[in-house]
This record gives sequence, C-alpha cells and structure tokens, in this order.
Amino acid sequence: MSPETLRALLVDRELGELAPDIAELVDAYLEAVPAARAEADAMARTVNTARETVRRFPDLAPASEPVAEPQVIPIVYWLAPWLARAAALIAVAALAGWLGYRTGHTTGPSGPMQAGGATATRVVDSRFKGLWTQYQVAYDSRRGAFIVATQQ
Amino acid sequence: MSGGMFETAQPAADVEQLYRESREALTAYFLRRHRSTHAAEDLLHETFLQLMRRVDRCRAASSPRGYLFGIARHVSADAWRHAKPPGEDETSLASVAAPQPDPRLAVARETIAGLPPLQREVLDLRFQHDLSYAEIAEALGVPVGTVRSRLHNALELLRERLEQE
Repeated sequence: MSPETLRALLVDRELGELAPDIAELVDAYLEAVPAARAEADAMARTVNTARETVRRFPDLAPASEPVAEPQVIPIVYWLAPWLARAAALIAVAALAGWLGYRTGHTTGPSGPMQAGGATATRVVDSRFKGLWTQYQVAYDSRRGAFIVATQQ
Repeated sequence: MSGGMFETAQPAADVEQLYRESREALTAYFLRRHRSTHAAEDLLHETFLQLMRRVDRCRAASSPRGYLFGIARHVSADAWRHAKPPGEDETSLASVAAPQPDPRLAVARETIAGLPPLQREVLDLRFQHDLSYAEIAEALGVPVGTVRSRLHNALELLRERLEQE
C-alpha cells in the first residue's frame, strides 16, 4: 500500500467514513504493521487538533461569499485559442492574397523583363480572367524568351 | 436522516421535523459566519422558507440535511452580498477564544486560516457541523471525491506543520 493511499484511508477511518468491511481490513493492517499504526496515531492527533481548532475559533469559518466551484470548461472553450490562431492565420493569408492581387492589378507593364538570362516579353491575353490568372508565364524555346501574358 | 421520511410524510411534517433536527446546527452555522444572533435567526427563517419552496428537490436529494446546508450556504452568501457588515451584539462570537495554552492550536489556527476558502469550508462543515462526506458534497454541489480530497489535503498540510513544531 502506498503512503498516500494509507494516509487517505486513515483520515477516512478516523472520521468514520469507511465502509465496515474496509474498516475491518484497515484495522487488521494496522495491527500487522507497527509503522502503519504509528501513522494512524499521528493522523488521529491531527484530526483531533483540527476539530478542536475549528470549533474553538469561529473566525476560521469562511464568512464571505462562497467561492464559486471551478466549472468544467466545455471542450469548445478549450479549442477557442486554437480556433483563434487558425482564424488569424486565415485572415493573414487572405490579406496577403488581396495585397498581392492589388499590387499586380495596380502595377503597370514594365516592358521586356530579364529572367534567367533570356528575354521575357509581356503580351496581353484576354483569355485569362480571375484573381489567380493575373499572369501566365511560358517559355518560347524558338525565340529563347519567356512570354508573360497578363489579364486586361 | 433517511430519505424514507420524505417518501411517506406530508410536506409540512417533513419540514417541521427537519427544522427541529437542524435548527441548532444551522443557527451555529450562521452565527459563525455573521457573528450576530439576530442575523442568524433571520437567516435561519429564510433558509426554511426557501426549503419549503423546494420540498420536492429536497426529497430527491441524496442527503436532505446536506441539501438544507446548501440552501443555508446560499442564503448566507446573499446576506453578505447585500453588504451588511457583520452585526456585533452582546452575544456575538467575535472573541470566543480564550488565550490558548496549547501551542499546537496556535499553529493549527494559523495553518487553517491560510488554507484556500474551499478547504476551510469543508473543514468547517465537517468538524463544526458534523456533516458527512455525502452531506458536504450535497451542500457544496460537488462530488464526494472532491470533498474527500480537499479534506485530505487540508489535514495533510496541517499535519506537516504540526510535525515541524
């Protein structure tokens, strides 16, 4: 038997809260183990001291408003911080995407571009529409140049 | 007090018997918290008025006495919320304690005073009002295991402090 378990049983025994059959077992254990008997005597002294102290000093009673019992927090509230972080990430990603779109939308043609040693030519292609098709890049091997198609 | 009483008796008889059996204990409960005989009497009456409104719930409770103390606890809290300072009269308990010859009591008093309110409340209900674990659990609205662990933790700390002295 662990010391913590024994001490808990001794308190319950001292307060008369053990079921009769368990109290019998504990009593038998105390008879067989002198060290446990000493623990029981020490716990009895502690309980008696506590009882006498509480009865003698009424100011020890909690006189103010009862402290609210700790509430079991529903799992939704446990997840709230993580949901908040996820929402923040989505908001940042959406903002970055919108800023990228706005940047591309407001930036004017820059003429031929240099990319990887080959010339890039910007062309207008009305086939591409939508936020994610602002630019289309292709490599023309015949000309050895990148072709950048923009939405207009 | 058994639940059988509430299964067969008329509501008025139930309340009357519970009143007779619990009156002294509840008066002591309110006296310790409000330090005034008049306040204790008023709160005692209020407690039983509330009990009469909830006789069915009291019958359904695992411990009617514990349920009654639970009502008393809330009545006491309501009284404090209405910001009446503790009344002092010639019968108050403000200075009951005589100089204690036992140094263990001084250490115990200091230790218990430093405990969290929830533990002190359990100690008070157990050692002053002799409520069982089940009755305390009913009064506080917590599981019996919680009552047990609070009491054990409080007594464990008290024992450590006493052994240091």
